[in-house]
Amino acid sequence: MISVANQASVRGHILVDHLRVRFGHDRSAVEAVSDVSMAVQPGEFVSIIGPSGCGKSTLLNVVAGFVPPSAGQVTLDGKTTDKPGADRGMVFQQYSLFPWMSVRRNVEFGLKMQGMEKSQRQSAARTLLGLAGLLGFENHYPEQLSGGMRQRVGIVRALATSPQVLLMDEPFGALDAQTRVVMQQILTRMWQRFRISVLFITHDIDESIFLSDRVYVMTARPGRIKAEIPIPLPRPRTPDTAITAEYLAIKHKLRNLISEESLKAMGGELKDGGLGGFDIDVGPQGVAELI
Amino acid sequence: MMDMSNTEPLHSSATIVKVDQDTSRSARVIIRLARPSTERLITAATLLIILGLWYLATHYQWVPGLFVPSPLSVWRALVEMQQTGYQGHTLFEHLASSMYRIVTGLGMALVTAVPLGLLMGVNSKIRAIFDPLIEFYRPLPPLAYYTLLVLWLGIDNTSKIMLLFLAAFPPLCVSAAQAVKGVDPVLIRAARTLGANAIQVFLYIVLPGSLPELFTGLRIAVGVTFSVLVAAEMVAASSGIGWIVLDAGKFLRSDVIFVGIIVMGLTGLLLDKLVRKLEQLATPWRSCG
Amino acid sequence: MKQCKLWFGGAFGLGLIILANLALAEDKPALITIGYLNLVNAQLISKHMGWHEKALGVPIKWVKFDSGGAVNTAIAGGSIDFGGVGNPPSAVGVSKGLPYEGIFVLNMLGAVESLVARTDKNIKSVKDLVGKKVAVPFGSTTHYLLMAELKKEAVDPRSVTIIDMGPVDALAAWLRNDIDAAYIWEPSLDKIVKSGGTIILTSAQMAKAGYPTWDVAVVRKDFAKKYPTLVNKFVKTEAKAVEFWLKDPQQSAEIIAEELALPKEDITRMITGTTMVAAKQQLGPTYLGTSNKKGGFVDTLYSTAQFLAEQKRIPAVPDKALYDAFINPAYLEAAVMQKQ
Repeated sequence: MISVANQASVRGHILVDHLRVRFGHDRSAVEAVSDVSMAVQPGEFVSIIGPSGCGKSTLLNVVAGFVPPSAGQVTLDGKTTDKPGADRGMVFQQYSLFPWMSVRRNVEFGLKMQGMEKSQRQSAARTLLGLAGLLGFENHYPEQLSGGMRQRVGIVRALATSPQVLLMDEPFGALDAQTRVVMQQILTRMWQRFRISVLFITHDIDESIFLSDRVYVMTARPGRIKAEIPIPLPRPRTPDTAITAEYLAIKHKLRNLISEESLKAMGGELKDGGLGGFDIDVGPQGVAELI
Repeated sequence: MMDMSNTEPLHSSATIVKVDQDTSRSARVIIRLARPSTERLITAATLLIILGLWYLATHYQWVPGLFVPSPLSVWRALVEMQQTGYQGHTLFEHLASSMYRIVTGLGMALVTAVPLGLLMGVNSKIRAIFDPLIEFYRPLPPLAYYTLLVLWLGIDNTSKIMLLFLAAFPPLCVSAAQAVKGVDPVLIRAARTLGANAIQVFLYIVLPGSLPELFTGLRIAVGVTFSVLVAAEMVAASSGIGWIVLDAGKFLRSDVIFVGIIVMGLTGLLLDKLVRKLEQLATPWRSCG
Repeated sequence: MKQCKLWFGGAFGLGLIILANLALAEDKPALITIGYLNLVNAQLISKHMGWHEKALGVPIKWVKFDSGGAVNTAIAGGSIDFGGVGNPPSAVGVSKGLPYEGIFVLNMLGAVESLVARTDKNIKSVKDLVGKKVAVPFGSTTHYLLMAELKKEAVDPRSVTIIDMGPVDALAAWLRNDIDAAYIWEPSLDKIVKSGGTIILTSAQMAKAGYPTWDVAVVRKDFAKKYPTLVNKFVKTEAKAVEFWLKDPQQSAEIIAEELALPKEDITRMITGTTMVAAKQQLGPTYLGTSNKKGGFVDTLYSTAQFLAEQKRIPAVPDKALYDAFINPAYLEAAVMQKQ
């Protein structure tokens, strides 16, 4: 069954050692990740934040075992992550629940793959769904659920197999702002119970600060670690935490780091604290002149 | 405590009758059945108009009786064909004969084309072997190679069933291969992070994910075998609904021809509806929400 | 003044010539379509020699048909003006009110159509066909004769497996050993005989037994009404072809061999199995008869119709008068008289 609360796992230690990921060959090769070294301690909630296309998803996919490293190594508790497995649970941004299975069956799936017997599976799934506040929907099909509900199912489905680490790839990116805030609160509460290692990808600064123990900032492509920012804010964190001075200082720091990289990703640069490198001067003649 | 129930499940239903939340569920069902939708009424009206035009056309001889027999003569021919039979078999027996050929041909195609198609979708090497063969003979009109089949397999049901099998094979195989390719890769990834191995991924993800498109292929295959049926019954048959139409043509029995064509059309319709029903039963998740 | 008169005179004369031409010329169709059967008969000679084109003065489109049933359909659809039909399809056509008339005897069928059975199965007559498979083209002359013979010999047709196949398909089936017998015509017939077959019944024998089979030339009634002289010329040309056949069988065989793209020996054999009837003879009581007293063909058609009705091939036997009306020797009479 699922390990709850304070079973302080010595498991869930991710080590990324000088990872480099390159796609394609020769001229058309793209270097997505370039010499990244980072770690997730057991039970830690770590976020990676960076501009679009910086390679953070690729990094996550290497940890998940979907993409092989071109150089360097990624290990989980000493084992290299060359194949996907139930030790690394994953929550995706897109719709990833199995449409032909009911909500409960979706949650049971990992347990079924492990060979757990039917009635055991069912009660385990029900417990998890209860935690997610979705018990009344166990026999619904994913189609019938809203986005937020589906992600809740996705999270407990990934947790059902008691993975060492939970990999989350911008799981709330497709949701509207209000739902996102609620989901962050749900996630952080769930995490407090299991204290499982989490590697979380996002481009939402507030999200990363609210949820994490540490935040890595990645550069624009080819991705490298630009900075590592600890988040010493006390837990449990609530919406009120977001207005403390400490929070705002961290946010300000992260924002500057991110802006720099975002601009680079778009081909511009930070100049005097503002936008630079975009030399389009449309005079009084208007756009017509340019064409 | 946070309110987590602000998210409503998606509903979509198009009923003409405005019923509010207070009406009991059973009452709502009854109302939906009793008041037919506008579309159904239009269909019924169109059919009646066609029937009426048909009757008038023959009654006032707008077309010669030989070209279009009157509805009554067609009805009489149908009754006679069932009661006394047409050339030794009742209408039902002829239909059964044809259905036997179609079902056997389709059945054989199902158990061969679908697994092969699934394999082709999963393995590109297998696809490379079979794809050119299938794509080559698929556009050929069945009549073109039918005489070869009769030459090789004889004049009995074997050659006819083989023709129907060959006709049903490509749509089933191609749709199976497409279906596999169409399964969202995210689902496969998700399954793997939940510990599923390759076989489990195939059984629990690829297979159910392929079902909707498989059924589309099945409906196409049924349609194709139906249209090929008449060709199959052209050489050395003495029973079958397609054969009736051909035979009656030799004797200018346009009333019998009409019976044959109408029966063929209705049967095809029924078969299609049957497949749709099967699809609904096999893929219950698609019709909800 | 003089010039004016000349112009006037010229115009008047031209007008007269045009009027005269209009009055004398019978309006002609732009094209005549003749449907002909895939058989050995004299019509192939007239086709080959281009006699119709010359006699009718109109371009001719020749369309080949494999069966009388197909000719019936073409007549119904108005796509041919002239055709050739055997007595069973004619009986069917008349019962359906097809708008055509039988105007000339194309051929009498003899040994060219026969029932052949496997020699090694020791089949001597239709009685031995019980439990066996027989191929025959449904709706044709041989189909009619097979059923007639079964009835004559008191064999229940249900005890014989009768399969609908054209002559070429029957040959293929025979070679595959799928059938035991076939009632078909040349040239497939001979190929079957040469592959272990024995002829157990011919259409000539059936004719003697009171079941003659033949093909007549037909014309669409509306065409005949509009262009009666053209129909006369058609019949006259066919009569000429028959004369040629009777006088010079050697040349006829050569011409027909070319038309059907078959070896001459096949054609020579087929010719002996088919009988042509000379024009004057056709007006005799055995064949078409005269406009006043129609001949035996009417009776044949009527009994064929009766038989088909029994077979449930036609819903009911039409009035004999319809068959009487179908056979129309008038054009042949005109053609014969013209010769004299």
